[in-house]
Amino acid sequence: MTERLQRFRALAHKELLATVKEKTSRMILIGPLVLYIILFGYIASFNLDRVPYALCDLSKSAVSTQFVQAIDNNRIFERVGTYHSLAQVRHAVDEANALLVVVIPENFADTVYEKKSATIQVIIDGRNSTTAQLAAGYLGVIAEAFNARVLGLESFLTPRLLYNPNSITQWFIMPGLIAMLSMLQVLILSALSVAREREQGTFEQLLVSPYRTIDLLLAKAYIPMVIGLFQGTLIFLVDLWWFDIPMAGSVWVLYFALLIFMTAIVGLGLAISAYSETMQQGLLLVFVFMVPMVLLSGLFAPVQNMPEWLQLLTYADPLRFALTTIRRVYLIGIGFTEVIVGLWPVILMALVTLPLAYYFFKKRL
Amino acid sequence: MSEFLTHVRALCIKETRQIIRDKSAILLGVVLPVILIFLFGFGLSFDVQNIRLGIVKEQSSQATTLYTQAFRANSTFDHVSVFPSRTRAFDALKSFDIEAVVIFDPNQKVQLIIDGLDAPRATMVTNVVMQTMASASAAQGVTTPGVQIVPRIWFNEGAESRWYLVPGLMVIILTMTGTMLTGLVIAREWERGTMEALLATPVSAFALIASKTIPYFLLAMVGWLLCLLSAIFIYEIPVRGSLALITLSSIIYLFFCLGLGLMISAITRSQFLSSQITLLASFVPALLLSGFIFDLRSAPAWADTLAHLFPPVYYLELLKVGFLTGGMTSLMIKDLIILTFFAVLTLTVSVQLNQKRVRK
Repeated sequence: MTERLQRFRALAHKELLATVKEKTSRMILIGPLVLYIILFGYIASFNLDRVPYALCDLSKSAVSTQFVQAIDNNRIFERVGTYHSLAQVRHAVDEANALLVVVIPENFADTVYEKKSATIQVIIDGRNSTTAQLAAGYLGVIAEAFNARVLGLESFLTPRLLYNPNSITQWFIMPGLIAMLSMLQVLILSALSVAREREQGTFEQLLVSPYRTIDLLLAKAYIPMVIGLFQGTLIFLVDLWWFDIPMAGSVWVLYFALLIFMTAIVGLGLAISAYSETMQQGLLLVFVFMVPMVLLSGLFAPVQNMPEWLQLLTYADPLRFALTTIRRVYLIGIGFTEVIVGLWPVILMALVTLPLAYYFFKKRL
Repeated sequence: MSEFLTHVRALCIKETRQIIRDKSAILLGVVLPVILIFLFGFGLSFDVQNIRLGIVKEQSSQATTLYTQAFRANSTFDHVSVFPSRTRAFDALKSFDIEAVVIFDPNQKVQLIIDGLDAPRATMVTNVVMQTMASASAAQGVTTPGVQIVPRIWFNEGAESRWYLVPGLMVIILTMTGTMLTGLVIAREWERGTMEALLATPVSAFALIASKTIPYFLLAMVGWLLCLLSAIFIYEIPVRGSLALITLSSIIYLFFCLGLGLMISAITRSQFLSSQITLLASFVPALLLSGFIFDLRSAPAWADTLAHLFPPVYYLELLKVGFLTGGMTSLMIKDLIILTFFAVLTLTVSVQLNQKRVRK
């Protein structure tokens, strides 16, 4: 047994060197990490950084000026144009690049003083309706604050967000990135490992060695998982210290969830790898699996918004459950049992992919 | 010149046969776009659906009954359950059975507590709950005093996210298939050692690039056409600008993508490296830097500047003019010029890179 363990260690060492010493695989270790942190951390955000808006004040009264001041005092709103008639409003969107146009009607002042509802029309550029609607939501908050401060009206409904009180998109995206990026690495590295040996002709050498199939497979699974965990850890540290996202759960539970997820993924990767003849084919298959997995995972758009039939399909997507579970561990702090309950489709998947990898591997011997 | 044409024709025939016999190019150029447009088109939506709402009535009144009915009547809510007490509702919220609770407390106030794990969705849920309650009270003739914001959406009156997401999809699909297709071809010739054979022929670098571009251009256009047809007929995106603009900008952009792929392929001379770089250099910018999901006007200023260094932004703007708005002539001309510049740039560079040299 000790001899077998020693042999296994030698094999794992060889796998590590084969991965780290090769220029191509070294490149995918660092490049994506940096790029993804910048892009997902700063650009993939529904917290609007600035809202270019145009103003069309037809009321020109003391109250309307006061309201406009309230908008301008807000750091986010940036006035890019001022117009005096409705006919010019189209220009605001066409030329001034405004995300929205605030139109204050002529009878605005009267309705405010008569304690009726004083409507302000906001014309939104629907070329990106989600962002534009969020911008209108910000304006709603300004209006509410204005009502309370100037008109002394108390707001009727107070919303409160659990787990992410300020509704920061980074808190949603970045913990998910831990799972996303480890998956990317594990899948590519494991999918290439067997295929590479086969392409370079070293596979036969492994076959004549005294290793058992299971040992070979374990060594092939072990290294991608170590690298995946390492990358996941880097993202986790960036989340914690760079983006200052408070960790509510325990680190052990986080790694436990990540480990279950990566076991399923490494099984998939090795199955692909043992199945493919060449690295090329392996990569193509990874691509075919990965794109739908990312799309259906709810990384950007919630799964609940999908049509029913597509939601059913997401049960085959381990990333969907990993994202939810890791977010819950990170932001809510759920425990081991809840992780297992939440990850049941992933566990099921691991139970399918690992034997499948073994089967393809064995068949090829 | 006629010699040049003969060369190009002969090489195009070779390339076409390779495409037909290899199948993986057809998979990448035609099948993948169709799968993507279905998955993306149906799967990616920012229109809130299936909200699971809980209601706690600490004091039953006419108003609370009215609101409950309004929530139940709204199809955005999947199910609306009434809880006898706050604790029961919070338990349901904590076990993720519901995602938001509306609490009507004794002094006529309303509290809304939402599961904020998915923060963007939570914001949208808040908006839907508030709108539903506002329109319910408006229907009863109750006016709320104070300043109210009434949004009106231009170019996309129903505020369907699909209307702006599907044109964005075309950017992604064209980028991915276009760059991937040519990203592999020159690297493949090098890896298989057939590049030396090509270099030994009297074919010029220009003819070589032309023959690598034309067949893949046609293949990618088939995939693109399928996307366009599904955008118009399945997703029912209106064409308010012009189909000519959509087609023209797509052709120019596709040339850019093919040129980029050839460039990467000629530099790396390895299929693996090439596909990695292609993924990083084309797909990610197309997804995140085009303003496809996240509007660049509201992103940090540096991100906006960064994004404008890549062509997907301009192509997406053109598509949105073509599909949703129409008009905007000055923007259109500016974007077309920039896109053409990028296309000429990548194609010229790839001709340069493929000058006959065995060593790099």
